[in-house]
Amino acid sequence: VKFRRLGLDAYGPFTGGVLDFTRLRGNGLHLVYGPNEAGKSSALRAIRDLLFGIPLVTPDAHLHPGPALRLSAVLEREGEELAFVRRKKRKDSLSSPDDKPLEEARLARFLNGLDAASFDRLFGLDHERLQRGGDEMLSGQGDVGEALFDAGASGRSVHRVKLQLLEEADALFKDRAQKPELNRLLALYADQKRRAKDAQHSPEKYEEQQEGVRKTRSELEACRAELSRLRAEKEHLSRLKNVLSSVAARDRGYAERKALGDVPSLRRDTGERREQLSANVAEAERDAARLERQLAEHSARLGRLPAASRLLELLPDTVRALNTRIGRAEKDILDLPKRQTEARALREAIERELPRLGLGQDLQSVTARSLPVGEQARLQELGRRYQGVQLQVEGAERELPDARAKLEAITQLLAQAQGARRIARDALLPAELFERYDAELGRAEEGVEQLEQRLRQDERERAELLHQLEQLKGQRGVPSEALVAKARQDRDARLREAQELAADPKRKALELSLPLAALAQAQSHADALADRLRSEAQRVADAELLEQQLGKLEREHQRRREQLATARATLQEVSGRWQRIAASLSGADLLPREAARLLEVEREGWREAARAEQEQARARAALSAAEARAESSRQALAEWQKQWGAAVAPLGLGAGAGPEQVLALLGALSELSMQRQKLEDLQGRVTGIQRDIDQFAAQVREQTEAYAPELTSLPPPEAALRLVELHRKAVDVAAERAAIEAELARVQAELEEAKARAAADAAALAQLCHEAGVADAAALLELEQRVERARALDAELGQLDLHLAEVCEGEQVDALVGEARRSDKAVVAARLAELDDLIQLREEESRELERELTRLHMGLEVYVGREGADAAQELSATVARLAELASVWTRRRLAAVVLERVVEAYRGRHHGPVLARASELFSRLTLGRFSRLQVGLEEARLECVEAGSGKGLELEELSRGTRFQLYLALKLASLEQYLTTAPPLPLVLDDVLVEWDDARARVALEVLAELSERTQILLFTHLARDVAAAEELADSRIFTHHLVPRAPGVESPREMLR
Amino acid sequence: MKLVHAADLHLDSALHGLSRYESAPVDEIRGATRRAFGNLVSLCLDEKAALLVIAGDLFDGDWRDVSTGLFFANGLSKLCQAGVKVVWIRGNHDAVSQIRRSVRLPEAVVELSADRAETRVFEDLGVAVHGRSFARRDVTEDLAASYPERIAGALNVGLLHTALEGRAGHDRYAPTRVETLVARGYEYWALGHVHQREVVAREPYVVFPGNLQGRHARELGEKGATLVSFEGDRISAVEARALDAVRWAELALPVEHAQHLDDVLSAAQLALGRAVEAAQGRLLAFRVLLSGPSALDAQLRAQRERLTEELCSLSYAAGGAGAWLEKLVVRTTALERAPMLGDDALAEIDRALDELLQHDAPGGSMLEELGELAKKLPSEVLELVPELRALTPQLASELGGDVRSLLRERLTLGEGAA
Repeated sequence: VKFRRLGLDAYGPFTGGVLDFTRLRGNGLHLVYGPNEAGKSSALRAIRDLLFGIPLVTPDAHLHPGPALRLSAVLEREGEELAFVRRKKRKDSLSSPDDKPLEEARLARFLNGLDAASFDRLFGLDHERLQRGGDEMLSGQGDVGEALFDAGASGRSVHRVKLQLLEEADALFKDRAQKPELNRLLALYADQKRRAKDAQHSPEKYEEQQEGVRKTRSELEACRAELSRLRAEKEHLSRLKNVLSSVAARDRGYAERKALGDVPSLRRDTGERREQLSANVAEAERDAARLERQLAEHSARLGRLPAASRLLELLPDTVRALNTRIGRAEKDILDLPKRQTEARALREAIERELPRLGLGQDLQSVTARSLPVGEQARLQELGRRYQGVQLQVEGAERELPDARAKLEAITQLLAQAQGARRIARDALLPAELFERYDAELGRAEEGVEQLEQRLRQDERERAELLHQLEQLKGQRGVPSEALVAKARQDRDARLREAQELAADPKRKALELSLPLAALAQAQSHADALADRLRSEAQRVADAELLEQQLGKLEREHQRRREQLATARATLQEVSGRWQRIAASLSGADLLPREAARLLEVEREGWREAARAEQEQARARAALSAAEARAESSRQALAEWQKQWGAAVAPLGLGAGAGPEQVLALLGALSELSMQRQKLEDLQGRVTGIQRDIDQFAAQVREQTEAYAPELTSLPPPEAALRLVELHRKAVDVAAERAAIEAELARVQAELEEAKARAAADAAALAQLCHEAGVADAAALLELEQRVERARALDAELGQLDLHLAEVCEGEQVDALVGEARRSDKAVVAARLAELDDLIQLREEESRELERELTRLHMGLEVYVGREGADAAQELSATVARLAELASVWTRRRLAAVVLERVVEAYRGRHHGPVLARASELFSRLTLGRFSRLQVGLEEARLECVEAGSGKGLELEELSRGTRFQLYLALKLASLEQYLTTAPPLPLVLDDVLVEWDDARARVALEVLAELSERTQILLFTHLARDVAAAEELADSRIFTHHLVPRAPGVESPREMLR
Repeated sequence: MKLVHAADLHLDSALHGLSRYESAPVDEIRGATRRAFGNLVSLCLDEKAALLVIAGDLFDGDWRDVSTGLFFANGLSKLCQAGVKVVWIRGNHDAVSQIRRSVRLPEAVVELSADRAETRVFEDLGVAVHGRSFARRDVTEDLAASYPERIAGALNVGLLHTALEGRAGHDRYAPTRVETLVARGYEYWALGHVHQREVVAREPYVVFPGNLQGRHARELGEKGATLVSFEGDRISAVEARALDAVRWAELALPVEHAQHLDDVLSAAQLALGRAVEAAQGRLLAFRVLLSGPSALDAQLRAQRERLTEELCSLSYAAGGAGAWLEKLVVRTTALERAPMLGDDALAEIDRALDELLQHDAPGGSMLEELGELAKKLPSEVLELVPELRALTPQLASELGGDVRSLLRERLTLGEGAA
């Protein structure tokens, strides 16, 4: 099959473009030349879209909208032609040129049934795939089978695919591993299977459990029946035991009651009343006897008391008044003589003291001289102040000569210090000024020096750059971008010219040939320049870089020179300023640092002089202060003397009297006044005491004369004391008599009452005996006791009968009583103890069985859940997942195995012929550098035999370019092999020779031209070099097409020829 | 008056084929058969049914967890307390079930004899139930032939576990003919054993209610019991009632027109939406079956896992009570093109595959390659991956198609075709 015509009717940048393949008689090698801008890739895609349909999303619908896209072609196979049109449609995109639908299958038959992918693989090859094919040969490490297969299949590296499949399979399952998913799931499966089994509750166990429940329940019932029988027996025996003792007591009671016989009925309180009455009679008789004895005693005491006295008439107040004054009268009589002696002694002492004061003999006038208290205090205060004033005056006069001497000494010292200074105080300059000048001068000098050094270095760099540039330029000239741009403008101008000519229908084809030739030349010139520009781009770039660097360096050099001039000017200006300052200081030519030291010495001297001036001022002030203090103390003394004279005048003393003398006189005057007062008090007291003694004596005499004349002769205090005593005794006797008489009357009355009570109770007792039918109280007592016993027995027996009825609880009392009379108490007790043990035993047994039953019932509850079913469901999910993954693993693993075999089979089938042909092509494509291909002895590796050395190189040892050539050789040989089994289809190549040098490219074209005898070849290229090479070959099997895109509305040119 | 007819409860039988994936509704799937039985009890109570007849197969014959039986007995107790009469016969599974023997059903529940056909008359309901239990698993005689005479004036119900004259996928137990049944003159034949619901005849009614809950991808659609309304000996209505807790569905998608995998997914999403709606709030377990000639055949086979993942994601977003993808089955065929001419490297794959698969006898070279896994897989898994045990021609062709597609995709990926 081959293309006769390809119409780019409306597609990509094309409008009405045509590639006519009928110019060559055979299949031909058709070089389709189009720079990248000329729509080469669109043309390439057009072939695929034409044959297999335009995809829904396409990059070629930019100029023409999707629905307007149209491609057309004429194919030829063994003389049969198929003309068709392809549009962009979801369905029926294929039609005949007259727009009748055309079946896809018709075209498919022309294409050997290949689909788009297979066509691409087998009959399509571009630069990128060539490179990848060459590179991927390495992944198979040169295995011949894989290399052949890869070249034949033209897909992804079979080696890589196989590895990936095996990896994927291993990630799912690996023998004796744990991590892969299936291994993990198998372990999980085993675990879940076991758990599912454990989670099930088996019917056997369930039945066993049920049986257990039944058995235990019946045992429990039997045990409970036995227990209730035992408890009934125990109850009966307990009752029997309870009645045993009661029955004996009851029998005895009935016997005694019978013996008592019938008894009369007595009033219930008879005994009580009898006792009460007997007791009452006895008590009344005892009371009467006691009272008669008391009566006799009181009468005797009354007889023993004395008769009544006159003293009872004396008033109690009078007696009390006398009694209270007796003590004071006795004391007064003793005191009077002592006070009289005291007064006499005091008067004599005053009279002795008076003459010593020297103020006269009259006590009255002397004491009148005494000063009031305020005046005395003032005198004492003035006396104390005298000593202070005196001390001040003396101190101030001692200070004055010292202060004068100190001032003198300091004044001399100051004069010395000021005389030694070289520089006036106001001419001193600040220290920072010198530091600043020092730094400023240093900086300026350093700046100048650095710049000079840098300038010297610049010179050296500039010389080096100039040298390099000269070397670069010394080689052949370098083309520039500008030159290329100009050549392209030229080409475009010629293109426009040619297009205008071609558009003009009046022009003949012949007229076109000249401008077309010029266009071709301009285009090739532009391409050549552009290619050279690219290849020499590095050198151009280097030269440009150097020029740029040089320019930059010179600009910087100039800038630095200007900076140096500025730096020098600055230095000069600073040092000029400094010198002016130095001259003003000392006239000498000093450096700033020396000047600073000189200034420091002067400054210290001036500081000392200032300190001396301050000292002098302080000494002057001290002298003035001392003089002032001496003056003021003298004035204070004069003032004190004036005040003192005035204060002592009232005492009758002159101003010359000293403070000690005045104070002593004041003390003596005060003492004398106190003694005079004391004497007057004593004389008053003596007179009072005498008056009291006389009054008391008169009172006592008046009372004794009236009531106790025998006492009149006694001294008044004693007489009074005796009178009071006698009066107290007479009052006591009268009181005692009255008390005895009252007691006698009370006892008499009580005696009569007791006698009456005794008589009444004796009568009542007699009445009681009479009622009971007995003679006296003793007989009544005996009757009472009999009645009481009979009553007690009746009650006791009634109680016993009641008790028996209760204890029997429904059993026949008589039967039980009968049984009790026959039973032995010990036997009953023994049986009861035995029953207790039995009951306890059975109760324990019963509780145990109840527990067991509960446990069994709880055991049944575990059968209620759903764990078994859930576990089975889990297991089922794992089984499903296992199956799913096993299926995936099977396919991956099988695919890998198949691939292995496929490669082997393919190698076996094609090894000989394909390798032989590839070997030949490879030798030619490498211009004979390699003589042939061979298979290594070990591991069937492909080797390339070097022509010169005869050495076999492995693939890794080849250069990348050589590997591409090897791949192309293998690919072409495989294609030739395929063509022996199927009709030929056009081979579509795209820029496959891009990185080949001219010589190898020429050989490749030759090889392709040869292949074109077997099938049509379309070689798309953007390299003018390829066109030129084809021209040079001048092979009639090669034809060159130029692609020219065309805007819509302008009629397309026919095929353009060269 | 109403009676409910159920059969084939298969309580606690697991739901098979639901391989777990990340978003799968694991908890919802548990206890499905129990919930379905719970629905049956509720149906009887809600409809105030007087009678429940169960035509056999309460539990899987080999299921040995007595909890299942207790759960069943508990459900029946509720019915007995509400006064619903229950009559049942043993099916082939019950004949061998240990649980059935161990667990005591409530006193009021009537199990018909296995020795001979017997009749139980409910005077108060005016209903006579005739039937006979399976004495053993493989009953091959026609039990119906010996069923008692019709009782006049009552509604006669024949209870029978049978495959009739044979039903696909079911053992041919207690075989009989519809004519035999009709000849007995009963008003209603309550059959069991066949899991697919079927009204075999209407005069009189011969009905398979189907099982209560679908348990795998071959038991599709609504599952439940039959509600029969009657007055005296006349039947007024026979209705199917869906009682299943999990609904099984198969989304069969013809993909002739799909140009891209996304087209297939869109179609699956649409179909899944419909199935979820039809499940009426039940959890959905679904299988996706792709069929028909398709340009995507090779791609679908080669990228089955990716597609499965996408479908799982779809199921996660399906709404309703949730959906669980059981499996993706690819049964598409490649588009018919003109036969490929020429002998290229990839054609070698076909040759190698044919050789490997066609000549693979048991113990052959392929099984040898895959034996390391086959040896480790439990038999219940191997049943689901039969190609690992022995290759039938059909399995070989399926497997071959998958491997061929996988290899072609891998070797040419990125080469031209989208």
